[in-house]
Amino acid sequence: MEEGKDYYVRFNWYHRLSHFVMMTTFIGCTLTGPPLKYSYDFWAQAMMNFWGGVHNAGLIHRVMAGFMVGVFVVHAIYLMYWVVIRKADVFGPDSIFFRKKDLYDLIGMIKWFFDRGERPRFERFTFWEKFDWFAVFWGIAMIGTSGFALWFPTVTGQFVSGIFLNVARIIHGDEAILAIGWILFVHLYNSHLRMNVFPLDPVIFTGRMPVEHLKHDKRAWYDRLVQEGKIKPQ
Amino acid sequence: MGRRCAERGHPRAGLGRLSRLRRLEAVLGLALLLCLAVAWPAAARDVEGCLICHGDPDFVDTTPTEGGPKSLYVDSATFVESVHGELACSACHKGFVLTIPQHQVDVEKDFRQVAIEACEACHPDAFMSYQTSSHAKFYYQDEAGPICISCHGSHAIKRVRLGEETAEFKMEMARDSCGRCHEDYFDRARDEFHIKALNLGYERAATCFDCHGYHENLALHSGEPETVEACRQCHPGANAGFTYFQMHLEPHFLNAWWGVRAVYLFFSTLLIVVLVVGIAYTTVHLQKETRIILGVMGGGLGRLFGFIRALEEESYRSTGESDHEREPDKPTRSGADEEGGA
Repeated sequence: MEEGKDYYVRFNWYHRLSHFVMMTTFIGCTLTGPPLKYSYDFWAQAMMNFWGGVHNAGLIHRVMAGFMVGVFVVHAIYLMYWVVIRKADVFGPDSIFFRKKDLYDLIGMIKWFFDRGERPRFERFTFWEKFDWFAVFWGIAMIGTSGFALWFPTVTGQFVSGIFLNVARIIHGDEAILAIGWILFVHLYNSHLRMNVFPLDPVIFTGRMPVEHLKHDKRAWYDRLVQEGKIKPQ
Repeated sequence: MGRRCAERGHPRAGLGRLSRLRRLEAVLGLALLLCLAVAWPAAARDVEGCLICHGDPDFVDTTPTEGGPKSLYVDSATFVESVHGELACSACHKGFVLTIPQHQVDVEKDFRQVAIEACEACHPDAFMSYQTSSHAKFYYQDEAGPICISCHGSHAIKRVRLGEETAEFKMEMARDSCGRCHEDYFDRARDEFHIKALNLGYERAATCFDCHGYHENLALHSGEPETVEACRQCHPGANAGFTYFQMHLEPHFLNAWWGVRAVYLFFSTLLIVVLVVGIAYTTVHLQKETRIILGVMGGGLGRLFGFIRALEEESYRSTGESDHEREPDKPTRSGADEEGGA
């Protein structure tokens, strides 16, 4: 943090910890899983050797997956707490759920890309942040379920036909490639490499965002915070 | 030794010749020992002298047959390394007598039958298992069917302890022995996790014969008791439903249940659509930002180019008005400022 600059705490310790665990376990799974899927490719053996063989890589993959599903479960409880106990406005401006404004923001953003209008005034969560959150939800549900089915195949066999292990393998692999591709090509660019935040947006690690940056990046939220008296106008 | 002789006062010339001879003897002796040491393992077992001829790589059967002369060469180095390296040739090649050229005594007996009997003599259990297999059935119906040596080979059988096979060996057997005839099944199994893990050195992963048996060669259909038993070797909790897992699905699951194909189609489409849309959005975003960045840089470049142009103009002016060379700075500066501003 720089002296003499106003900061706003955007993410609390829980948000930061969730992202950190999610990030590390995701990298862990990404480095241990694909060598098996692409077993016959030239790089697979070297990567497996790095982990000390298939057995160790499998062990690391499962430990990482366990923590990742842990984050998912805790987050589900966290959401329940906000929705059920705190009675949060699910479709309000502070919510991470999709609402109508996100569609307008998307259209506005595309217009801005082609110089047909101003950059939209974003609220607390932009639509790409919401999509990343939603994609993780969907991804963990898909990859996690199929992963557990493959981890305990005979238990799976107690409930459904063994052919669902073939199905689980397809889902696990395809969704994993989708997740890796999304993180590499879309998430990293939109959250860390775009001009406003290049070369890395530290807000998800520090939780703090310079108010000046907030004003430029999320104008609607800035206006609201000023109106509520939570930040000093810049 | 030589030195001691010299001290005793023997003539030097004679002494030199003698010691040179001795040295030659010693060198020759050592060379002989070395030759024996190298050649011993092969030579010792070849008590019948078969390798005198069969150890020659150019040794062929000149009897006219289809497909040209047949090689009768046996690589003695490989054979010595093999599990049967200790045995004499006649231990397996039964019924041959030592004549030149060799002839089989019992000409009525087919070579393949002799080969089976040779293996059976020491491996009766394996032979009994083989008898019940579909391989044996095929062989007894039509002699083209596989016998022991079709899978195991003959002179290069490796020394492997049952249950302690390396992943490399299991992979090699699956590819070169099973996969030689069942190429399509092997290729399909390669896309499954078992063989994929085996390929990366996980020796516990099952290969063809871990499920289908070493000699029984069970067909293994889903839901049948022997299939459950096969799975239970590694998955103790396996039940009949579990065996509906398919190990030999075609690429793109063309021979699978429609549900598998539907899931594959859905998730492949999802993968492509989501990534294409995401990457397209990012690309369009990038072009906007690139234009902004180039715009900012364009200003800088404009200033740079303006400065160069001003210098150019100044050089024209100075060459045109060579009398006024005293104050060249002033117009240059103002020129640059003008261009930069524009």
